[in-house]
Order: sequence, then structure tokens, then C-alpha cells
Amino acid sequence: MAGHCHEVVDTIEVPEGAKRIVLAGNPNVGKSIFFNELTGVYVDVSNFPGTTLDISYGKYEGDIVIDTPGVYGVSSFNDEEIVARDVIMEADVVLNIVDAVHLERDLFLTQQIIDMGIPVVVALNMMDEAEKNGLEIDIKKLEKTLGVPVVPTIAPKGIGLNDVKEALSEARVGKTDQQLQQKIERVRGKVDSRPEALLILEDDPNVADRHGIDVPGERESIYKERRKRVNKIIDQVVTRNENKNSFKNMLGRLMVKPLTGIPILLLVLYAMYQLVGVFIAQTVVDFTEGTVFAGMYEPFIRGIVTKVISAESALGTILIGEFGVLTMTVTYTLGLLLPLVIGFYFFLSLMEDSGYLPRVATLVDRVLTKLGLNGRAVIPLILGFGCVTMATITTRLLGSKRERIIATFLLGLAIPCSAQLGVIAGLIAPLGFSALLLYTTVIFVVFIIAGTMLHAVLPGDSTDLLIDLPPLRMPRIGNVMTKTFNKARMFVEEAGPIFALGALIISVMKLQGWLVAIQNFVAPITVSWLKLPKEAAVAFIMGIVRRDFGAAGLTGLALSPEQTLVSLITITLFVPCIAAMMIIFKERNWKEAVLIWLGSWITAFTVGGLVAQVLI
Amino acid sequence: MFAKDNCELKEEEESITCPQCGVKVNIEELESLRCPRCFAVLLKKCEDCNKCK
Repeated sequence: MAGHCHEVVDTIEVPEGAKRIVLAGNPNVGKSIFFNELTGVYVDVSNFPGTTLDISYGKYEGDIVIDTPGVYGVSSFNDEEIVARDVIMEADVVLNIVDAVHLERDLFLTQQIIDMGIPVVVALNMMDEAEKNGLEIDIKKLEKTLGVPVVPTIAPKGIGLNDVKEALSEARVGKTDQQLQQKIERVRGKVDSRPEALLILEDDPNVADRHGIDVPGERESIYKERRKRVNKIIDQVVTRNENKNSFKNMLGRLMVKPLTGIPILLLVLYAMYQLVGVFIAQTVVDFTEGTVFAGMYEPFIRGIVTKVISAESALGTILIGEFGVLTMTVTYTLGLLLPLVIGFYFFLSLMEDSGYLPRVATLVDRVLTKLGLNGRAVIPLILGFGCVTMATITTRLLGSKRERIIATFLLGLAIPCSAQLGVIAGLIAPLGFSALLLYTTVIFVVFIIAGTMLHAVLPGDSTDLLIDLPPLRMPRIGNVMTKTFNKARMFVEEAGPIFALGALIISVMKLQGWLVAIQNFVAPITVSWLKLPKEAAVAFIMGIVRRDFGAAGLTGLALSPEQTLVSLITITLFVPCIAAMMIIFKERNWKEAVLIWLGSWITAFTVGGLVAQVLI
Repeated sequence: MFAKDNCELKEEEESITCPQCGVKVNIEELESLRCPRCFAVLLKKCEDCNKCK
């Protein structure tokens, strides 16, 4: 794994005499703002084979600026670190971005890079927040203690960025502990590169392997000494005047206490529902899906295609038919899903950048622990109400495989996506509040039972929630928009091709007559067990493609209120859509994907049938 | 002192892995409740846990 990283670093072309300026820092310290400031835009992206990590690089005054993933230290504990390590080791200058609010955390990496003997400039970012948090940092003393230039910045406001540019020419090698220096010198007898010598001393197995050296087992003592050194620096340079009673601190505390935190959460969820579920799912999507894509784009593309081939031919059916790759796929991806995804990520970015999301995770941690998850799972679960496909991808952030399985199953089973919610809301509203209450209760109970059962039967342990709560802050709209745009772009890139493949498969099934065969196969269950008309089977077949598609298929049926409720419960618990299944297959494996798919079938028809037996 | 995880830790367990940065830390060597590398809270104090009650 290490080898390829090295190779990719080498593929970044560095002109003769140009320096490699590497941006390094902990996660979420604002590196991208510095990168954009230095290079103008994201100029080039080089993908690291075998990983999902991208390295951005661009030019700055004849030098090359390379961005790295956010890491806590230079080593090889995960893919991000391996990539960052290999880029940092090749650096001529490291611009180390440090969060002034989390100086104790960030200075470990700073000191480690200094110990590597690489010239460093420290950008001490988020100085405004440090001040608001009552932190006073003696920058001159910090500069003297580290032995490298330290520039205070407030990057989102552009403050200090010019000073950072000027300081780059003054980058220098900082101060290293004498004992560590002697150890490094001993290893340098065998290894030319000082950064590599340090990493071998710190038991990095990849770097040690490159030189055929056994790791010396010194990591723990070196880390311990470095931590002591960092703590000592903090004692010398930081003065705390914490204002514990400020409004933001008080609000932050109220957000994590159940008595006040739950009403605040309900208010936030209501606001999100109004934005995504009402305004975007109804008003905006009506326009984009109905007017723009179904009304203008589809007739246009059909007109072009039918000039060349017949719409009734096999190719015509695949391209512009009911499930056409050029019609339904494009309309659903761009006209229906994209506005919902944009709306959802806009709201989520607001929650993220304001520091509210970690507080929600803390608030619901105790409840989710009962389901074998921890508070962190609230992120994919909330995302699932936007798009289950996208949410499934974010289960990656959960701490263990077991948690990822539980969250993926719950997402596939009991979390309706925003498009489906829109259709459900339209169908259930005329039935009154009691129908809505019954529907919500059944889905919630299934969610709890499924989570509890998975927690009981799956082997292994779930992880604890261990997060540092960041200070509450006012999100910057520019950053929120950039995040939203990047995530929406990623969504189209990831889901678009999968969706096209799904549409292709369904079109072929239709051409072969398999869709009708499946309809007949499912019909007996629909009629005798679910007590629905035979035609309802069509909706479930459509639901295999997309659950909202299936829910929409129910609108054309003459159903009693009880039958509507049964069919909505069944379609909500029904199998995840094809795009979500493909992502589950990609993220997990085919066995788990099949289990989730079959589990959803069984749960949907069992619960739907039980409700039917009671109600009808 | 390290109640939450300490009461769950098996007798023979000598080290824990930081859930945030992945570094393995020897419990005997641990000088605070935080990870020496990424400063994440590794263990909770008894009064913040109370699981044993």
C-alpha cells in the first residue's frame, strides 16, 4: 500500500528549481482555504490507486502546493495517514495549519513534522474562536519554543493569509528534543532520509520494510515524550480566561441535555422537514422533475432518438422507454434526487459547521447504544431521510463492521427517503392524524425491534462514542455552499452510473417479460395476506427499482383507508431501491446485501400482513 | 479512576487502541485520560460513567 503512494507523489510534476510546499494539519482545520488561496482553485486531482483518497495540487509562484488529508500524526494507522505521510516526507516546506482552539491536539503533529527535520511554517488558524473561547496565545513565545515561524490567521475571513505567503520563504527546521535527536542520528547511520529515520524509530512498519529494518519498539516512549513536550509548550504559551456563562456555551450545554436537547432537536428536524420535505420535495421538485425534465427534456431527447431508431425497438425501450437510461435515469437523478440532495446537504452542512451535529450525536447516544450503535450513527440515519443510497455510503464513518451492518440494515429497512416521504405524506394526509400516528408508530417499533435484534445476534462489540465537542459557531455561508456543491457533485458521480445500470436491467427484464412473471408470482401474497387488490403487486415490483416509485404506483389504485395504510407500511419497509442495493453491495459484500434484501422482503410482508389482519 | 473502560477491560488486557487515530497505547504507560497522540478522550472518569452502579 505504501509503495503506490510513493509512486503517485513522484507523478506530481515539479518544475526544475520549484519547491514542494505541502499543506498538513489535523482534520477540519481549514486547509482547503489555504490551498485555494495559494493556488486559486483545485487545479489537479491525482487519485491514489487502491484507496479512495484524492490529493489536490496546484501552482503557487512557480512552486507546487500539495494538499494532504487531515491527520493526527504522521504514520500508517489508516489510508489517510499513509498518503499524508508519503507526501509530507517528500516536502521541501510544510505549511502546518493548526487550530488555535485545539492547540493541545494539533501541536503533536507540528512537533512530529519538526522532528522530521522538514522546514515548517505554522499557520495558527481560527484565532477569533480561540479569543471567543477565552484563550490567549503568546505567539512570540510559541514561535521561539517551536523554532519555526508562527503566523496567526482567521482563514475564512482572509485575515493573515498574506502573512502566511510571506512567511513561506522564512520556513525553517524547528527544535527537536536532544535525546530524540541522538536516537535519530543513530538510525541515520542506516537510512539517509531524516524523516524516514524518525518514522522507523516510531515503529512505522511500511517505512521500516522499505529499508529492511526491524522496528525498534520505541513508538510509545517517543509519543509519550512528545506529548509531554507539547503539554509543556501549552503551559507556557496559553492562558485560559474561559467564559463559561456565554450564550453560546449555555446553548451548547442545553443542546446535549435530554430535557432541553430533545425539544431543540425536534425544532431543528421540523425546520429540516419544512426545507427538504415540503419546499424542495414539493415545490422545487415539481418544477425540476415535472416542468424541466418530464416536460421539456424528455420530449426533446425522445425527439432526437426517434429520428434514428424506433421507440418500440429493444434499443429504443432501453434508451427512452419507461425505464429509459436517457429519460427516467436523467429525470430521476437530476430532476428529482439532485434538488433533494442539495437541500439536504445544505441543511446538514449548516448543522455540521455550526457544531450542532456532534451535539446531536451526544444527545442520542444513549438511545442508539440499545441498538448496538452509538451517537455517531445519527449522521447516516438523518442522511437516510434525504437519500438512503447516500446515507449508506456514510456508514463508513462508524467505528466497527458490526455497527456498519446494523446501520445499513436499519437504513434499508425503516428509513424512507425524502422522495418516498413526499409521496407517503400526500397519500396519508387525507386519512387524518390517527392514520399518520399509526403509520409512524409501526415504522418506529419495527426500527427499534430490528435494531435490538441485530444488536443481540450479531457477534462482536460496538464502539463507544468518544468525541470532543467543538465550540458552537455561526456557519459561513460560502463554506456551506462549497460543501453542498461538492457533495451534490459526488452524489451525481456515484449514483448516476449505478442508476443507469439499474434502469438498463429493468428495461431488459421488461423486454423479456420477466416483470409480468414476477407480478403474477407476488400477486397471491398481495391478495390473501396483505388483503390488497391484485394490481397492488405492480407497485411492489416498481418498489424494487425505487420505493418511492412503488409508493407512487399506489396512488392510481382504488384503496380503502385501511388498505392505503397497509400498503404504505409495506412499501416503506420494502427492499432498498436498486441504487441503494448497489451501494450496499459495494460497501458491504454480496452476502450481506442479499441478507438485507431478503430481510426487507420478509419484514415488509410480515409487518404489512399483520397490520392487515388486524385492520381489515 | 478509569472507570468506564477500565471496568470493562479484561484483566489480561494491556493496551487499548485509540478510536480516533488508531494508535495502540499501553495502559500502564497512560499518563492521562486522553490519547497521547490525537488527544481524544480514551477513558472516562468514574463519575462520568457510573456503569458499574
